[in-house]
Amino acid sequence: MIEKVKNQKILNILNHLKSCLQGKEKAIILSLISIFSKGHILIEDLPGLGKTSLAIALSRALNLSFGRIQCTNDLLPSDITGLSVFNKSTGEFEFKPGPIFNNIVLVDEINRATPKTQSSLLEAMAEEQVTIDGTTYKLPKPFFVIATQNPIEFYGTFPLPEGQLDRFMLKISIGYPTSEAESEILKKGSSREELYKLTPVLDREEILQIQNDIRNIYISDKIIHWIIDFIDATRKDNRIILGLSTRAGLAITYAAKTNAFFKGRDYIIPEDVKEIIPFVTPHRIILREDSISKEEVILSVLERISVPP
Amino acid sequence: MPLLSIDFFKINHLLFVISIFIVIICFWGIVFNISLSVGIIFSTIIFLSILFYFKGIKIKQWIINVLSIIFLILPFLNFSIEDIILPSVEALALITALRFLGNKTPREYFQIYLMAILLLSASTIFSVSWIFLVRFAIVFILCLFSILLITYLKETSQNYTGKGVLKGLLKYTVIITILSIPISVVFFIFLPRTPYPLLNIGLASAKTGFSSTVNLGSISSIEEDKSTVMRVKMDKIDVNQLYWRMITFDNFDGKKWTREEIFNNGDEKITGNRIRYSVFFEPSYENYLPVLDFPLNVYLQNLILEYPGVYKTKNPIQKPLKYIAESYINYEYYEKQPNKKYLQLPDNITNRFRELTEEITSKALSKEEIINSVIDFLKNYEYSLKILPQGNNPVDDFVFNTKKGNCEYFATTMALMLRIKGIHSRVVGGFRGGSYNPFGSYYLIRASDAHLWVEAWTNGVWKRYDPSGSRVVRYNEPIVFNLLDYVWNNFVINYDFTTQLKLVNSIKSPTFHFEKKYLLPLLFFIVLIISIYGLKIYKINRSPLKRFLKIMNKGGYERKNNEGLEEFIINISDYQIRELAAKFIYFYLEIYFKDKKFSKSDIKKINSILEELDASIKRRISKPIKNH
Repeated sequence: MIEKVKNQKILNILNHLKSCLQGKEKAIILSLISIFSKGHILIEDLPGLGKTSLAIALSRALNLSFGRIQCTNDLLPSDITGLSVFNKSTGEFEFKPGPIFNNIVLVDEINRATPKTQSSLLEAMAEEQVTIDGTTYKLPKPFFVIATQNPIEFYGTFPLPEGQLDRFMLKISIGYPTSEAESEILKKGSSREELYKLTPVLDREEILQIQNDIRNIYISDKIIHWIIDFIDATRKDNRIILGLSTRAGLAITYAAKTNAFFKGRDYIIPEDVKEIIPFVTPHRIILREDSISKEEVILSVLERISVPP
Repeated sequence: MPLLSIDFFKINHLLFVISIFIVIICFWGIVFNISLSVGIIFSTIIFLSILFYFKGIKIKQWIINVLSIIFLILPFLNFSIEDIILPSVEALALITALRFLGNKTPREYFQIYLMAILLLSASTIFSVSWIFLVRFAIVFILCLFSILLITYLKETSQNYTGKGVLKGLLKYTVIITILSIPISVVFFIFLPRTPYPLLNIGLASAKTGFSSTVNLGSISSIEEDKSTVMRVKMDKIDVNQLYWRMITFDNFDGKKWTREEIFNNGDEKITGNRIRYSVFFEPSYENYLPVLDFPLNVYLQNLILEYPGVYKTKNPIQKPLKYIAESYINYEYYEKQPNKKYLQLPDNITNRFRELTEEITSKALSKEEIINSVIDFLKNYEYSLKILPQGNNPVDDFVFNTKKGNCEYFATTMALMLRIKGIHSRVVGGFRGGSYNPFGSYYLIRASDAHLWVEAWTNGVWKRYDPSGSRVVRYNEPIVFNLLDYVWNNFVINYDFTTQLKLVNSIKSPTFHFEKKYLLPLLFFIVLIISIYGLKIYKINRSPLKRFLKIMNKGGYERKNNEGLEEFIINISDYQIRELAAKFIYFYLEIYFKDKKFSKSDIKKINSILEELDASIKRRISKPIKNH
């Protein structure tokens, strides 16, 4: 039950965001898990289900700067990273940072950008820095990318290959809101104004502190061996061509640590891992046949492995 | 090597590797006795199963079954009624190896261990060396350890383990091993034995090669055999006196020496220093007994003494034999007129051989000088065990062509030359030398010490001449292994019905009366240790989680293998039970997943929670179920 958050600070954020993001609790928690695990998130969903609202609300509540990149097939890498411009008055080249120099970056419809642009973005995400004209610029901390992609439209898109999907810690979908939540939205009406008016709950320093605290959550060898068993099983499964990488294993442990922290514990239990696996792993594997869903395969593999103790 | 890359903390891997070791150790005991093809098949299967195991390849059960049947039949394809043991052992070895290809359930492992121990026992058919004890000890400890591992795996259903657990299991293994030693000793001493071996099969080994005929070249194969022929308990004497006389030969037909019955006139007389010794003779499947040259008497019943100084049993010696004997060393053997047969020459003796003999001895004036000149002449020849002269006239070939040979050729040539010169001579077969073990104070004589030398008669005295003796290369044996051999043979292998009876009789006598006094405390001590150990096992079995799951089971809540504890309790509808269960699992999980140990107070707390839980579950069972 990923919704059962017990940590007070996280509860505060949740309660604060609930008011303007009805019915998106799970998505909020998963985004928070991703932020605090120093990972990035990919939201695959239909348009109009509140992806942008989620990103804006998060940046407001966490008091972080927000940047937005709308991807099209003529978007250039420099449109993301920024570029050096000649300043006439000083007579020097001046660096104009792109939208990526923000704490929370929303990359909308990432599969519309050309592979070249996609990879420059993913590179920046992995390195947490951008190099332009030989100068390296550090991205701000915390740095968190919310990328979205539309699963229905294929015309003129460049789907991300699994190797690049691997860089996203979580891949989620928000889904339709419940009828109650939807009626609430319709009644109140949605206004971006209100989102921008949200007051911050945490500040930057606190976020960095929490990120560090999470890295210190205790993980037993028993859990590690169990995770390794699971990863190994995905590699040996007949239905899977490409099993989980070591980076996937790292993502699982980091996300599980954050999940344990959210639950108010300073050690990991198997449930912490089990809960995040459906979001951390399916997008990293390649199946032999397309007819089954990746998530189902992952869950069936997980079911075969006996849980400690 | 796949072995290097595996994770030994994964119990399945550890079990597999240990089992492979067990089987290989047991197989090593028989590998040199079974046929080569079986050895190769065995190694191939083991290799393949290691490969398959780490590649995760599984073989269909029916393939294994078919192979099992084939391997059962295969060794019996060319068997004879007398030799039913060898194919049985071969079939056993193959089927044991095959087990590794199949599923690796605990049941399979137990089968493997059982068959491995059978294999090890089978190795005693071929060799009774003390190495068996070493192998057995290793196999025992490994089997014990892996049985504990299997139990641990079953009880905790945890496939991973840490150093701590392994150490703990190792500790139990050592304790059980140590405890089992006195018990096995008791069993060894008192278990009834038959006076005769149950399986008296002619597979065992050290042949002396001395029957009543000896072909030239037949001893050479024995000279490379390192197996023990006998041990002689005696004081150390001069190495030049160490000639173990077994048989004499008088008739040479050009290719082989034979022994004919020669009756002496009864006019021989021997003087010398008397020496007494006891011989532990391994079964030779022949009739002649080795004695120190020159024997005075052998104290053994049903012996035949043949002229000159040859002792013979009525039946071939098929079991280890111990006898006490007396001999003369530095002896003088007088005989007035030896038998004419000691001048016999083969028909195929060549003229050039005669001419050569005359040439060598042309300057010699007396019989002693003739003998010395022949010995001097033979010093030009090379001692060798390889590429021995063959053909219709091997002696001629040796003297004129190859000029290389072993003691047989030297002794034969010398005897023939002396006979040409009219000197009575005969060839004596037996052993020369032996390595002395100062701790056990005995000589160890191996088959490789087999030797032939010459006795010649001059001036009324038979004297021993050894034309090749000084040239035989001898090895120094490691004393410790020698001693081990001796102790093992004397106290374990030769511990038969008679020794047992002796021991039992001696217990009756008052020298052993103190045993009874200590028996009770000893028994008490053993019971105490066993009960402490049992209590510990009981405690391990009653780990908190086991007890918790048992209590929940009573209430009808069963945990699935792939379920975490939290998942397990979250769907419990009864609020009180769920809360209590949650209290337990979070307390338990915190200690368990923080890799801490349960302290006494923790266990107390757990006990109280579990009692409460137990009570509320009992209440629930007794009351009709209410739906919330």
